[in-house]
Amino acid sequence: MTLTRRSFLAGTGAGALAALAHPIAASARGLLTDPTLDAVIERALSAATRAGATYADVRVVRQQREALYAREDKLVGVESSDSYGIGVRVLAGGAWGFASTPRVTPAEAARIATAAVGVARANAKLLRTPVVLAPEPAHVDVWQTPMTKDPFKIPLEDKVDLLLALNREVMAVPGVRFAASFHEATSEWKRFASSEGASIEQRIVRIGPGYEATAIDDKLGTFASRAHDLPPRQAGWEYVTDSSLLADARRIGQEAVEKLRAPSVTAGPRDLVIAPSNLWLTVHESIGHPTELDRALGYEANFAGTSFATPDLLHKLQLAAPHLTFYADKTTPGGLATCGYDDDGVATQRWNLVERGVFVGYQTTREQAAWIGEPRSRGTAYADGFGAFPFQRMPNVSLAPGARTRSLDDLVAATDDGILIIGRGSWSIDHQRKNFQFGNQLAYEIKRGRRTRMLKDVAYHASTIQFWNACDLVGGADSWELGGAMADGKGEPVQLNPISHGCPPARFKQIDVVNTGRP
Amino acid sequence: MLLQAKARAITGRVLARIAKTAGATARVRLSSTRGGYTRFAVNTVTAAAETEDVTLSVTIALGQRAAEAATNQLDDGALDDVVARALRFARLVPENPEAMAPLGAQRYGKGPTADPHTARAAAVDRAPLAQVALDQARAAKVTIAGFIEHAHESISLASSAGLWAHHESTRGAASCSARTPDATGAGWAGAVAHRLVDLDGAALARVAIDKAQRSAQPKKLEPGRYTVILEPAATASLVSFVIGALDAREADEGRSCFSTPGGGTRIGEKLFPDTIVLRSDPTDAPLGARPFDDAGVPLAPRTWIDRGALTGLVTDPYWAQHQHRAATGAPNGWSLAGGGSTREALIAGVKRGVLITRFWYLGLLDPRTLAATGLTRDGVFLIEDGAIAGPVNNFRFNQSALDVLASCDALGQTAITRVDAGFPFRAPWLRTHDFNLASISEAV
Repeated sequence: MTLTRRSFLAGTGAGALAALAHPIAASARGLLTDPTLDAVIERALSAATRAGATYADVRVVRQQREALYAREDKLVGVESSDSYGIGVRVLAGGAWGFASTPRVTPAEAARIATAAVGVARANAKLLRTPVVLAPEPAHVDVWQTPMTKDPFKIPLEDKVDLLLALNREVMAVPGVRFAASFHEATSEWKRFASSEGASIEQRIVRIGPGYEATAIDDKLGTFASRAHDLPPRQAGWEYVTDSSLLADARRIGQEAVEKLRAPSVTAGPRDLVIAPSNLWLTVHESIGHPTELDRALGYEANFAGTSFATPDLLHKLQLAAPHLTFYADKTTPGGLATCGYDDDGVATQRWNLVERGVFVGYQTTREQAAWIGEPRSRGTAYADGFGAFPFQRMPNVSLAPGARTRSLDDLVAATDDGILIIGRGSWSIDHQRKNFQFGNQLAYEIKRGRRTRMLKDVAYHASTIQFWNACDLVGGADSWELGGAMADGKGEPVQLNPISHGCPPARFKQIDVVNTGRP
Repeated sequence: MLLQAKARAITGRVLARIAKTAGATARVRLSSTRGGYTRFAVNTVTAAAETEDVTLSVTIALGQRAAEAATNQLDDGALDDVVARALRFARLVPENPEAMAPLGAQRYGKGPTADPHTARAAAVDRAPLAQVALDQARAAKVTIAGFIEHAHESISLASSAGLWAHHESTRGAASCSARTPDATGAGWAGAVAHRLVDLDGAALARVAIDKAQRSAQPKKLEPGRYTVILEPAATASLVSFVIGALDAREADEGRSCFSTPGGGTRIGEKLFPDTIVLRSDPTDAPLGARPFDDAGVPLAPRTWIDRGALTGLVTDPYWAQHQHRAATGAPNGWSLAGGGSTREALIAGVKRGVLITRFWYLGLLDPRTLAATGLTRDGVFLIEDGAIAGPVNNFRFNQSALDVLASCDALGQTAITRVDAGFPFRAPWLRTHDFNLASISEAV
């Protein structure tokens, strides 16, 4: 059986894609050898120009996804999806227009390019200020995810075996009634070309395994779940095999059972020690989103909201304690938003958003740079498929580690009375990114420098500026971890952006703790 | 767009390929969409698009081994590939005792039909809706942002056992948000319809602008437990948690708010007042409903909460077989029944309370109680002695969605909103008590 299954997958482990740690010059054809693509791109750009576009770009995008789902002792779902198409974006009369098609042919490319110009002309009548793009060199390049084992070339049976083994381990814990595990891998291949001469080909591979244990107490009529904290990552299959997913499974099951009988937290202000597995999401919501320039200026006011971090506060607002620096970085190794070039064709970068506690920077695109007088885009445009209009999306945004070597245990040891928060639970923040409330996977009471009993029904609630200014200790570089999620929503229609956030553990003084079991 | 004849031909070509493999059974789902949208913000148009796509999804089973593959390409090579992928994976996976045989031919009730004008709509049809909102905002000296979209969609289902289902629909939605120049007032209005012509851009802009102006310069109101009146969008956001919890398997397995200690479910239990009636209706055109679910299970109008009592839970075909019950299918066309109270009557019955326009960023805190959190936005007003006293600050709430319905004492007119940009839900104005507005949000 094993040999038969393996023989189905040509190449398998031996067919791992050669890793490219750095972008290379695109003297070769690139990653996909479809002989019609050059003609497709040429027809789209020339049709757009002929129809009156002053700028045009084409993205040919192929997205693949493989997903497996297991519950208890059975594999209940296997999915393999493949999507391919063209999106053409133009400027005509100073306004944007966009059209897309799943039919990747020169004739279709020309048709949608002309249609996109028609859309732009309809919009131009409603326009107040013409769109102006910040200059960017016309890059010609190839970039792809550095990895050693392409997850799409790993035998299916390896993934099935892993999921069933995870569930078996979790279910071996007395009191655990249910187990759910999953594996997801995505491949985003795209070729970008513009009327300015850019030609960029990229392949980004992301992987996200996970599982959850659910324990039930029939007599009490109650239940509790515990999900593993391993975040998704831009990586190959080696990320899964190098992880502690399987080794942790018994502990995860035991923690679900322990949650059932853990005492409910007493609400009130407490000192919090927050592990990176929880804090990354707080960074995302309270630092990442407010520093999106389109949001801050009102461009997302109808749905995603606006921001407290308005341009008049640049270099003035003490957003966080002076020992904290947050940076945006679309080059972070393994980051889900990492790539060589954004969907405007801008080379990716790293820069500070909050420097020594002061709000100093925004995330921008080519359209937005001039809005705050910056000469160049920060390279944060993204579209989540060939049919999606590229707009400003969050890069990886991270909290820099502290200068001193400090671990999570060191922070606990330094805390006399507090709560340790681990893992991602519920999350919610207001539409200007101040009032937030975050749950968790696990919470423990800290007494006299020691982690003591587990607590349940814990969430912390704060206002962004108060919270980050209440941070008095952070971990060092060795304690810094990268969290993240495959799907951050923004825009209308909603587009999903994969995103990572790194942070050390940190301690916060006197933060409001809410009891979610007795709201 | 894939009309019926073409869709049937494509699914036939897929099934013919699968028939060559002895013992293989299959389900084929083919969906297509063509549509467009226009966005505007800071009193100007910002983006617009015309898009189309198709998804062909093939699930092949070899006995109890099953796998699904999908593509958006429909040429012969793509059909060969998608069948080969599903077949290859089906041969590799272990047996799944929960895999169900594909459905054969079914009888479906008549569903809503597509609107030809909406099906043909383009950027020039959206522009007037945006134009009227932009004009009103300039005249009122407020800042406006909004979104207009429409789509023509089809879904077809076929199986190796003889299933055939096809449905075409259209949908449209428009919404806008206005903000006052001093950044202290914000208002929103939105509407969903299956015909673009039913969307009144002028009326939506009027409501959003009026609400922004009336909510400006809010007074501080302390957090606490209040009587609240929820506008339909706010009701829909909260009650969607109840819809999400109507799962028979989770309840039977003891991990649902509808489980009972010691086993069993709360079906038959009266949980809410008589006025609470929650229905699904696959013939409800404005809700974009259709008469079958993604597996091809026929859907009929059904009441899930009747005069306050839980009457049933959503049961998929596997769980129905396991429990020796009938499958309900996955319902669509959700409505919470309204009542006879006007907005004025709802307000007149409140000594001291809060009127809430809509919520933002809701999250489930506890599946045992359906406790949820979230925030108010775009207009919160204090009610005193049966009248609006004035605008107040926004709040975060921590509140059980079940308790919202249990404490409901009056219902008003219904309206359709898309819950968090998701499914359309017809929900009423709703008055309830002891609603936990837990902390102040400074956001406007």
